[in-house]
Amino acid sequence: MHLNYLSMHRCRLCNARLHARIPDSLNRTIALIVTAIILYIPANLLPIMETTQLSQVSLSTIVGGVIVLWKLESYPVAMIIFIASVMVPLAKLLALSYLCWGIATRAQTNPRSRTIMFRITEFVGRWSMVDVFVVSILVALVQLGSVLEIRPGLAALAFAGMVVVTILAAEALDPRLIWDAIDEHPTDVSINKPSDASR
Amino acid sequence: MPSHPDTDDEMWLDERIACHHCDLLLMRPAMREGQRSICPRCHHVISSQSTDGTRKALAFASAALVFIWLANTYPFLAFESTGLHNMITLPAASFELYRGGQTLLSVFVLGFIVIIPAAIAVILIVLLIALTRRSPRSWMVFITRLLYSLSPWSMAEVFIISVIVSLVKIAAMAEVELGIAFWSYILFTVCITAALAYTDRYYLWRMIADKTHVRG
Repeated sequence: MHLNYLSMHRCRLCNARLHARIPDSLNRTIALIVTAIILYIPANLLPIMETTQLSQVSLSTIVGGVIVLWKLESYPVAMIIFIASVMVPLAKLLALSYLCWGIATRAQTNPRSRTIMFRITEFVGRWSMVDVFVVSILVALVQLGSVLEIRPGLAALAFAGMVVVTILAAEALDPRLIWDAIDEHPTDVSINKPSDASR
Repeated sequence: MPSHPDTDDEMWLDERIACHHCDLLLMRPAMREGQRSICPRCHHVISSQSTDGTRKALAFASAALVFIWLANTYPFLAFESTGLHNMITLPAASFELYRGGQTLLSVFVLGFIVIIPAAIAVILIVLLIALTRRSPRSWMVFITRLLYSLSPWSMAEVFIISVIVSLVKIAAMAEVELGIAFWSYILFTVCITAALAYTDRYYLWRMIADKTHVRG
């Protein structure tokens, strides 16, 4: 069912332009996923931090920083950074791609678990910013002139950009599209009946 | 009630709501205090509030505004290594990035940790006060939509975890002291989270509709 005529109307309460589904949801999400993948490459290859200690410069990447922390036996912190900076962005991109693929192929299976997957993706996105904030705190705090100085690397910008783009991608994806394939071929009639939502 | 010539009144029955995540048409939930209404098909939370939380939300939002002010004016962290001392404030976390040549990144960081969270506190206060008096609908609609478009970009709680991670990272090479601003920032995060928890999106729009006599 297409409700394109809705776009000519506005909400009577909040004056928002009405739409049955977010316009161009799938295309916009895929475009943003591709952008995020492109940004993910410099974010991991370039240095995120430049440490100058007694005129000796050392560069560190995100993964390099995790390895150093692991060797220093700061296991919980190494885990936090590894999960927030490496696992979460990767898992988020995979999840969004999987959801887009399911929508594009009009998949009928597990719409509820796919919706839950969408909600998790939406929720965890911001937590990837941890490493960027850590860099900004260290850059501000560790300023001891020629003795010890930390400068931000280009990867920090690429990484922040990637997080912003993945948040936009999750916002562009309309979860109702997951259910459209099911609503077109209702196999279980009872599940589509309007019912009381209170519990 | 204002009449709308271009809309069929059949379409605007008060009692129905479409789930935001799966588009299942639901009856407006009748809830008792402490209950949440959840979409039976996709388990999306439709509404988690049944009673007016405006006063509590206003109290928490006001407290949040005071704490974010403290967090920006008092020392955030102090750092000491081999006799050298350095103290930073919260805005410095962004300002030093700007000095390091990362202008865009510094704008992102300042926005995510200070400007947007503070803006949410201000918007909540303005909105909740507007709800208690006769404010024009266009104004309430504008600030409510602003509130919900900004809320995904507030990263106060993420920043707190980042501070803790940074402390562990430099604990080996220096002594770090937590300032008043750090504790204020934590309290700010607690208060703003509580304030947002008492302003359920569905309940808020229904309140605006009732105040301005709009059906649907």
